[in-house]
Amino acid sequence: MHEEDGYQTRRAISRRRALRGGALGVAGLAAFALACGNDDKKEQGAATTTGAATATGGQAGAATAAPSAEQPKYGGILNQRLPNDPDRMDAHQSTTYVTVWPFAAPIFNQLVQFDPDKPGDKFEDITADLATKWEQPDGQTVRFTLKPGVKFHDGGILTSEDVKAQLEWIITPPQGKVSPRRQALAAIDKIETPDATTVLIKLKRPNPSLLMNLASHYFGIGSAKDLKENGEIGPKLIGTGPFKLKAYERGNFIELAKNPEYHMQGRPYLDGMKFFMVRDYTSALTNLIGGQYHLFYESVFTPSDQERVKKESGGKFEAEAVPSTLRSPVFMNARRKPYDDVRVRQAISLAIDRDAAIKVVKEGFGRRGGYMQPGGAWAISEADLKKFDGYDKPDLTKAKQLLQAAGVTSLKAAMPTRTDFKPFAELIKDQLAKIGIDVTIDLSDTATAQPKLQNGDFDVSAWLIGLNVDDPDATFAEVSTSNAVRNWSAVKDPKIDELYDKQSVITDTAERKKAVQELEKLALERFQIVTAFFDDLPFARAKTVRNFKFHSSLYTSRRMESVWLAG
Amino acid sequence: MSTSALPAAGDLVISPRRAPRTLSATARFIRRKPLGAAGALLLLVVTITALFAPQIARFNRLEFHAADAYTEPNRTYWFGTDQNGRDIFSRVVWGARISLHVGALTVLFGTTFGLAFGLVSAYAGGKLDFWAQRVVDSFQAFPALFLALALTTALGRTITNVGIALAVVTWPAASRVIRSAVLSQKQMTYVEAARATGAGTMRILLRHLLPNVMSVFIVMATAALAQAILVEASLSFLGVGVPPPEPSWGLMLLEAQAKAVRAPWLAVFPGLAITVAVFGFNLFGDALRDFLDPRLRGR
Amino acid sequence: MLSSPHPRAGPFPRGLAALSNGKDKERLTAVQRYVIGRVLLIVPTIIGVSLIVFVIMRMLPGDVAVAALGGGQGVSQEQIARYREQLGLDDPLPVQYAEWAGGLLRLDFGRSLLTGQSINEDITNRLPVTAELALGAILLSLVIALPTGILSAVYQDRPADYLIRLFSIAGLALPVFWIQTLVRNLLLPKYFDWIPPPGYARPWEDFLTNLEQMWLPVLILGYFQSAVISRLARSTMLDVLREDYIRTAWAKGLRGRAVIIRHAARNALLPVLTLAAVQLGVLLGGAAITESVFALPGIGRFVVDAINNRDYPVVQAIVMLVAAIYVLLNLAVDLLYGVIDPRVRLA
Repeated sequence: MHEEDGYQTRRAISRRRALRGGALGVAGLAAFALACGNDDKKEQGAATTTGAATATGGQAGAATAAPSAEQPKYGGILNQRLPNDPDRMDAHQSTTYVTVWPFAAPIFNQLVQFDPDKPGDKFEDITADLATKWEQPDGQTVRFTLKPGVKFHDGGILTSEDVKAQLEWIITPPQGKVSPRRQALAAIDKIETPDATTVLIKLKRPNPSLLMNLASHYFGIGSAKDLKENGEIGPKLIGTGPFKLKAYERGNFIELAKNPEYHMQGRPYLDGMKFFMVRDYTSALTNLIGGQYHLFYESVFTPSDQERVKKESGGKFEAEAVPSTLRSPVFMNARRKPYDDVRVRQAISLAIDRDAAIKVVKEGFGRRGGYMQPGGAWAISEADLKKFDGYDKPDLTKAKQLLQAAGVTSLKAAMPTRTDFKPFAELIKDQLAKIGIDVTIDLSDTATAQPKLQNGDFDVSAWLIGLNVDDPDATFAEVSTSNAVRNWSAVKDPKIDELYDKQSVITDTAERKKAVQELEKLALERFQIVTAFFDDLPFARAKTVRNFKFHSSLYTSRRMESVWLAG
Repeated sequence: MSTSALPAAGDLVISPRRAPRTLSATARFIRRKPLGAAGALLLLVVTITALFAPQIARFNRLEFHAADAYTEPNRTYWFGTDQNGRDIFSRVVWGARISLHVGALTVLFGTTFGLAFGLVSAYAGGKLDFWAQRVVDSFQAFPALFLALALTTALGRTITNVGIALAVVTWPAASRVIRSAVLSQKQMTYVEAARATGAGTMRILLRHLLPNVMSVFIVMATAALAQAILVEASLSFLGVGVPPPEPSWGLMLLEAQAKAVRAPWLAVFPGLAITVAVFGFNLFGDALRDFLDPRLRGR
Repeated sequence: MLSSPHPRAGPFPRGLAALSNGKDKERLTAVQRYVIGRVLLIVPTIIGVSLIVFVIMRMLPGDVAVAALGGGQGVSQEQIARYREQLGLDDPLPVQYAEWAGGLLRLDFGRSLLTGQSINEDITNRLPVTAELALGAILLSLVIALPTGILSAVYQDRPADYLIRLFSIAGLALPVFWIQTLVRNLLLPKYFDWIPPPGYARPWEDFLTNLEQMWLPVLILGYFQSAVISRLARSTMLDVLREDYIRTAWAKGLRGRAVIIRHAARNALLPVLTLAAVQLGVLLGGAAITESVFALPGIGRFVVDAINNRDYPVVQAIVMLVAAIYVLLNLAVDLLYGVIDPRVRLA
């Protein structure tokens, strides 16, 4: 078969590379035990039995004892699939992982990053990237010390001016550009550059969420020169990252090549990465089974499809699902009667069978949650969550009583939503029918459906919301506060705003967590939205991929500098 | 592509004739055109299914049976169930009604409008005919799939709007065929005679020309019905067909597509339904055309 | 679907036949006048298409600003409004139309609202892909349709006819994407352990890989196309077989095959080729689904996405392009008609 040949060549190359790599004496390699040699078959066998644990090899410079018995190999191209073209080349103007994976993560570095080894993406997992050190001399100043001598792809040296220029670009983009995440940096007052390797960020107020945001791939640092000349980091993509853009054929593929002068010595291991744009999920799945990709993600990649991939690929792949910040809520338009009545919204919550929803819509790849990622750093406990109506078990009798008490006998509800949310919308229609709410689903594309929700032109809507990090500021400013961008239900409560402002400036994590949980409970009590479930992100990985972990966010840990291919 | 399922115009130049007596004509049709008769039978099955869908369906077409998700075909669920545990048999049965509904709208708005447009354009002649044909040209030059897609997106995703979009795609070709049929009729002596006896324009159009191009219309309508089912399926694939959860066959196929390996029955039954229906329309339409064409009748 | 499908439609074919014979000077000018008139007919058609596409795109609810920003978190209405303004979507419609039409005349299609990419560049990259697919499919469909159509006519209402017609009606009745996905994703991988290689390779860069990627979509589309063409071939062949000169040839005792091939098939060929040319134009605009299933970077899927994203300039550009090709193909067919119409020469 065609692909087999590819693997053969790659193997030969990686053997040669491995020898060269060994001669280089790369720092951090000591952390690995001696490799078991060149017997590819034996390696593959080992991978099969140890499963995911094999892939937890140490990161660059990390002093953790690596359970892997393998020595990293150089060479090879890592192949992935994207469902479509990135909407633009500058990720700062984009809002999709499709842009982040090829054009942000591998090509740029951020100030800080989430430890690629720790899939939870928690505050304490933030680690060095361009900044080797960051400290807070006072609550309203953050000082970053940059790694010296970091080179851009065009040969320029990264300085604090570049960081300043990029962050300022995000806060106030030039005429004609959009910056969808400027809100995340709203607390920044000014940025100072006392010397070439020091960045001082002055804040208007304490802002513990700042680092969380800066650590996602969305905040990659481009060169000041490029920004000045072209107004964006767009088509040129001059970054400091381990890979450079080699070729981009729209609708076809994106090819990245290794940056031999990457500032982390001995990285990356890969010669390059290739992304193939394949729209059709069924065809993409077939290609995956045929071995055309090393890593695979798709929101509708169900457990049964995962099983199929494992089986039909002859065990070449392993698959998993990772808890995420992606949630499927139902909005209820409180500008309209009877949804302004909390009892009606509560009844809707009681009608939705969370277990059935997870089973039917996600084939089990989901979990109950409220606002913060379930099981994450901030969320209330499951026991606490279940105290809110509907978040434990559905109760149709109580739901009907509540509707009756609110004076609702029969109700017709218009539900505009996006075509890709169809399975969830159908489920909600089915479940609300049981309490006498007759939902009419109106499916359309984003450009049609989203304005309807923004303008309050709906009764209820089943939607899906993804956040790039599990962060309280980001979460509640998205769906809960009075001026939240997606408080489409328009259930506004000054108490929520007050608690939001309160938690946002607490720098002590434990104390902030308490405040956040208080906020989450209050929001749940108002039934602003009814969250049916949080998605688990389904992935597949070829067993030859080493040193890669799937994270709970699609926007972290995609740089691949320490990833290598065995066999 | 499926958009080209219409018969070519050249097949359809038909001369005037008296309506054959129904019964004997039917008998002759069956004898002379067994394939066509088979097609008619298939159509009859589809039509009856559509008409009596509520009686034939075994379950509510929209109802979830979450516990029975992905059941293989069995005694309860004859065609199995989908991921929501909905009964595929009931959905296929209702799908017949939806397909015919869309098809009927296409014929009503599209073929019929094409008929009127072609009739008037051909009869009026002169400048009106010239510019009317330029409008037809423009619509024919417009890529049909994009036109239907843009229209359903613009109008919103309802069964009626899908029908309207398909009609806009269908009418130009229909009007062309009708026009050429009328043009050939226009010179006939009986039209001249009618005009000589002082019949008004409307009378000539409706009483004389229209009945004589009806056979062309029927053949065009059969083709349009078949085409509508297929194009609706294509639109569903591209995300703008009949709105879910209503079970159009195209939509069911799309949903099945991602599960074709896990649950093949999801793809098999709606696919068969489409094939059977369109097959029937085409067999019947072909035979009808041959049968109604006087040049073929002598053979 | 056909503007002049019938060999005897209009005065023109005879006229041009006369031109090719070069006998009659007076009619030559009439022919010239006809040709010029026929070419000029393109103008209102193209203007018509441009108006239709412009109006329909403006009928679409929602706007490109939302499509571009709508997918992600934290996008406020003010940002969307600002973006809209930046894209110049708030100019009066006649102004927008005039600007766009002016660009068209200079063959400048403008830039995508979404990506800022030059549309001319996109067309240069994508049109060849769809063209390869469409041309391949049409050629293959002729190879299938001509023999089957002719046989079907010669053996009218006999078993061979029935079989062939079932075969070709099946091509009309099966949903294309269903067959494509079954063959590509079930049949070939499962039973032949074969999938097309990843990424589309351009034929002039890597011919063999291109072949490996294109044979299947071309084969399937070609079969579906052959259904339409075979049916027309059958019915024109039937027409021809009933013509007096064929009957005369039979009567003169010419052997069956000779009659069919030398006289009938040649005469039946013209309408079939006409249809093939027209279908080529139709396929250029109708291959979106095939391009989706086989991940081909052509213009079809590109337009579908652009409609969803309200990327007006992209939709408008490609619609105009496909319409222009369609119109030109029709023109070419019409003009060539008389030149090669053997019936005219026989007379």
